[in-house]
Amino acid sequence: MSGVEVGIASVIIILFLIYAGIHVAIALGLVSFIGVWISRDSIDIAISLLAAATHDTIAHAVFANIPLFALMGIVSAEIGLGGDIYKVAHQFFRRIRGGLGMATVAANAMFASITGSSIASASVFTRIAVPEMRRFGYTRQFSVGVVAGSSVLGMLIPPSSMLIIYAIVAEQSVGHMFVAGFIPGILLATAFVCGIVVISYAVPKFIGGPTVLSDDDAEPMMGLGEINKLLTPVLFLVVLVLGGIYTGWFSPEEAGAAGSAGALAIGILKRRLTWQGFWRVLVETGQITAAILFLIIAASMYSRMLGIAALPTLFSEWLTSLNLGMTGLMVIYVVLMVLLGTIIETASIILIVVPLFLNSVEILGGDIVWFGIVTVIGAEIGLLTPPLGISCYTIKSTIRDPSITLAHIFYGAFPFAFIMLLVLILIIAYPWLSIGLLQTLS
Amino acid sequence: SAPEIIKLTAVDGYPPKALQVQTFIEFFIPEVDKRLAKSGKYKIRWNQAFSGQIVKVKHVLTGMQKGLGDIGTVTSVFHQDKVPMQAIAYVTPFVTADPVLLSRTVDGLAEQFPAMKKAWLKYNQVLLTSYSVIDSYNLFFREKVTKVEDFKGKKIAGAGINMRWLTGTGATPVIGSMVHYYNKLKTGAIDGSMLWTDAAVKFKLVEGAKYLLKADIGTANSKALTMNLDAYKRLPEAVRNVIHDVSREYRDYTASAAMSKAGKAFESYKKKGGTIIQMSQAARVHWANTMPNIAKDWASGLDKKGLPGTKMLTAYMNKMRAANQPIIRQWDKE
Amino acid sequence: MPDSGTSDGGERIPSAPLRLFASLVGGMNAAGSCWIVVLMILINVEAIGRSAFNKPIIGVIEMIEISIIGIVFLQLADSLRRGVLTRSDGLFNQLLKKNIVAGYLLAVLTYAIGAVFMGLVIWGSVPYLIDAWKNNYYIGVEGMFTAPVWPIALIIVIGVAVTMVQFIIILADYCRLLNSPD
Ligand code: NA
Ligand code: NA
Repeated sequence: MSGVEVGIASVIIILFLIYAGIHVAIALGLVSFIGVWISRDSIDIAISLLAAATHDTIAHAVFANIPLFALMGIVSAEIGLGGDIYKVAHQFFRRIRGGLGMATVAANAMFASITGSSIASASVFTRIAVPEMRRFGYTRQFSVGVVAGSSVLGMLIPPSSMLIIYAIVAEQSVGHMFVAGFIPGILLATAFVCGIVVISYAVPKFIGGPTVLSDDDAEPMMGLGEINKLLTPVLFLVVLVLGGIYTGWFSPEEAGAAGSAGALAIGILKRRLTWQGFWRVLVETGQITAAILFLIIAASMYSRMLGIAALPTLFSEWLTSLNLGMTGLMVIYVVLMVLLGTIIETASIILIVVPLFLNSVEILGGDIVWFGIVTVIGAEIGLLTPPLGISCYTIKSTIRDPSITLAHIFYGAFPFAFIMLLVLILIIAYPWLSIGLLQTLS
Repeated sequence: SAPEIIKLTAVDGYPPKALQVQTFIEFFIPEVDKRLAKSGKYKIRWNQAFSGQIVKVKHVLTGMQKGLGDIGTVTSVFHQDKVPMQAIAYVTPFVTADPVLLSRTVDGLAEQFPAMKKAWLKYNQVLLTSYSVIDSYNLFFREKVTKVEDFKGKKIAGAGINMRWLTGTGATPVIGSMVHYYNKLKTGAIDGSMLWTDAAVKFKLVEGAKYLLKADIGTANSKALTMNLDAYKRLPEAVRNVIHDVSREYRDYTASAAMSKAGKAFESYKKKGGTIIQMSQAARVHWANTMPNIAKDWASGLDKKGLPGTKMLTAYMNKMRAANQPIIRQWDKE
Repeated sequence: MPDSGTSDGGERIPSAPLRLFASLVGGMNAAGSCWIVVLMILINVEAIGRSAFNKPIIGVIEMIEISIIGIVFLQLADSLRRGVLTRSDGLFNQLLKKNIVAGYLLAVLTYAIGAVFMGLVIWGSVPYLIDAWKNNYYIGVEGMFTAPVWPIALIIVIGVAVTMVQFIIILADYCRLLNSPD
């Protein structure tokens, strides 16, 4: 079988297995095993691939971000900090239709500046925002969809583990990538809010929730003192984490560890953390970490299998033979990112695809930092698309309400994936949106 | 008649921008193809699986051992537990800053001491060449530093094995990946870093570290080009010979490229507002002598395992003396 | 998913080996959970030591790498047992409603494939463990900080093996349900 055939066949079989209900990681791993067995005609090499990916993939300090920021997020949720941010955000948006959804986006954008991973964002706001939105009568799909959609901000607004991975692959400075991600992150958050406004008038049934809010049925307005009291611990964490990263005293992992310790300290001082609560937090952090990192290991098996089947090489040769301009190249790139994003996990996409395109982008005079932001947003659309959408899966594995299915989550996240695509086109068309801030600063 | 097609998967965890991969693509592959085309009997169908498509940077060796790749550029400096003999240049700083000479010399040692190739065979690898992609290690500081005494209390980041050069200087070694140096230097989380100039320019360190202390510590063979034994055995002899010939030329081509890149890198460092401080000969001598004799430690460690550590050290130093290198410390003669 | 090994809805009292296995999975989860706290403390202490006292902990990066693998493989079986391991169960739930036997058959197949896959990973991972043990592989820099590779290879093999057994236990529960679908 040629690389192309192996590639296409593997995609079809994986989709089939996932739909049949096989665990996603198992489907990816098993198909990788068979793919290598066929393309190298050796069961030993196929077995070695599984072992190599199991041992190597997550043996990197950057993956510590996942348990640490998840811990910080889950502690924050356990001691009610996320709820506190959310209450304040709620206050600002409560007179607007779909306001609780906007509050989720706003709170997520703020939370994004203390987390490097969308997974952490998704798990935190699943616990905080979904029950609240359900209580106010928002639909299942919108409640989880807005959480999934806004969780991608976690990997775009710095700190971001995806920007770090891109910086490694493309040999760019992590600091530059972080600066470049800032405006696109804010832009995307704004676009989400605008999107919610549009949907709430065009298809109110999709969102649900209160359509008319009067002073009578709204809770009393909080005073400045109360807002202050709610936000101070959160701001302390933002300053600790973001401040730590921007002053350079902390790497992202260190910021995550400091943030976790800070959140625990706040919980103890506020007497909101019990021993049982603490233990629950740890067990949950562990389970989420195991599920997500095992999925990343399996995704790595799959991308390595494609590498062994020579798919990336064949692709690269084909690309060169096309003689495309920058626009044509970007169209192909975005289409490919979105397609791959359906079944491959974000970091693996970046690792596989960026090297194939980097050369062509440079030859056509594209900026490599700009290309990184395009890449990260493009690859993150996949967090929201079935059958493998890690943000959606995170929500499913975090949520306690069994009546919310994966289908609800993917359906609800779809408008947000679409908005991401629009913002991506904007960022491709106007590179200064990403590199302008960087050029101003230096 | 049509040539026989041979499939080879080339691997590295690093992207094509890394020098050893770049020269592999622009020199090794076309050169092999060209020579095979001359006789017309064989043609290699390359699968270029770089950038960690199949194996990550620290796992090229184990991946190739298990047959996940056929030929690849191993960063041997990560594998002191497996191929400790490769570390010879890292335990002999202030000996040579000529990557071509060093690479040729280490390949010569591999011919002279079969144990060196045997170490690779244990991992199912045929050693094709050991080579350097580094002109010389130097230091990049936030503040003006001219001598070893200035290191005291300073946090200096580096990748690992070369951190032992700081033992005895009073500096605090901070081990970490190069991708983090920029931020840490810019913000003062570290005071300096030790790497080579081309890499420092690539990571834009000048924005955080204005002062390049040109200590000319020396070059090192951080890389090895190896081939999986089973894949090697499958090759017709004519193809094997071409691979060996081109490997040697690739070694020289890559090491020379490291030198010419370094020349441009120093220029670029200055142009971007950096200051280059040449460390005085006296200060270099002083630094070399503050270090414990890491070469002897290394050699006697190998001797204990039944490997020719001391002999290799002596042979290496002899070759460097014969080549008139500006050796500061006679590591073998203490 | 049947609640394997822990309780069985009063229908069946888990046998002693099953109870022992359940406490093994629970114990490994607890160890992994504690490891997260250790990781957090380690990184904090290192950051404080480095910035406040100019005394970084050498080898912290290696310790982090080891910790991540430890945390994941100690908790994998528990994630499976509690149904946190990601899968798309839409078709399965539909089937259960329409044809309960077909639904259970699909579940048996799902968990059988999982067990087989874990078996393949063990097959590949045991040589890693033996190699690392026999040849004293280590990570880190000699003379500064080194840590042996074998303990981590052992955790991987144990974690995957326990997960495989967990797959088989859930599979067996579904087989039992298949025999008495009511
Ligand atoms: Na973020
Ligand atoms: Na997806």
